Amino acid sequence: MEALDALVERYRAPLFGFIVNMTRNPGEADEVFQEVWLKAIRKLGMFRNRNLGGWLMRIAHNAVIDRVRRRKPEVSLDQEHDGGGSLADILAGSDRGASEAVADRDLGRRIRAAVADLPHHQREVFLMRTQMDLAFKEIARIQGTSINTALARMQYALNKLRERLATDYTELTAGSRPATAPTCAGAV
Amino acid sequence: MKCETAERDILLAGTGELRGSGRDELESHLESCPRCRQYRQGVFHLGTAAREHLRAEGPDRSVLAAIRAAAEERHTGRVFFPGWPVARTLAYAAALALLVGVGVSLLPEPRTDRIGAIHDIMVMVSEEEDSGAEREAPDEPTLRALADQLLIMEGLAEDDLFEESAIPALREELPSTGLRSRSSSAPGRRRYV
Repeated sequence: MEALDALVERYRAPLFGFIVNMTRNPGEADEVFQEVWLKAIRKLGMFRNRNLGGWLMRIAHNAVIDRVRRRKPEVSLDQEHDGGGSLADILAGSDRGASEAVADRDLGRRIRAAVADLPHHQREVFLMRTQMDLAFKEIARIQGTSINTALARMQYALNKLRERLATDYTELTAGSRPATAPTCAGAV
Repeated sequence: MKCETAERDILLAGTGELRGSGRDELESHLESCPRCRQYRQGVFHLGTAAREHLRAEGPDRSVLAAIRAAAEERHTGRVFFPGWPVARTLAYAAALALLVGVGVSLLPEPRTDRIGAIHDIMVMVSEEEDSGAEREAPDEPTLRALADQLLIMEGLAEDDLFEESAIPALREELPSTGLRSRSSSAPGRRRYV
């Protein structure tokens, strides 16, 4: 049980980040997250691959597709959540200084809105890359496509995001708004 | 190298999927192409910002509790042995070893052992004769007949005993004693040494 707890905790943030940005609905994301882990627990004995993260993403990918197919109206990123506050606020989770937090939250809101507007497959590639740090070969396998197609989807996603976040992109590139959470794998 | 190709290689280099000469070519192109250098920098910063701002603090605690409860139920409901694949392999190996052992034990004895057993029977009969018993053992004729039959089955009927192809050890132990073939023998005492 402790091993399972450690496993769930290790992948909790990136996996939930992927799911909630794909479903764009926190309540639904909770259900999908639970569904993914219940399936993983049932099939853990059959797990043979070394890449556990990729395996979990494959389960999450299938679960999200099932949900999308069952869904009817699209959920807006600014739609009020049951617990109060907008989805963007719920996803923020930042505890920085006031003005910086506001600016940062605005940037975060804009990034989330821009990503939410990406076509499904492009959004999925972008999130698999940025949240789970999967290689394009693994992403292509999960999506059931070629690595060239996965790369192309990523390029289209980046181009759209650059257009949508033109000002922010310039600032980011110029270094005037550095990332506040430096990561080892900053490259996309 | 075209810039379109360089853009894809920049993405592959970020995951470590671009190696060797491909990486060298990309670096060489970047040295002379400011546009692609800017592209690489923009991709890096956008990825970092996305990684931070798309991260979500979730799910709800009740979800984590439900996952744990399901795992515990599965763990107590049946034998959940993390090392099951290893144990299963060992079980198969043990079963195979058992089968092989049983199979070996069912194999017929080597010929020399069987002939040795026949010789022992003959000796027993002979000792019985030498003991001066007033009466033959009730099953002596049966024993003799059995011994003869066994010899015939082993291809060592009386004539064969003294042929060159016969087992030398047996030949030494069983000198000619006037053994008669089954077809022509009459029940009677024979001497086996």
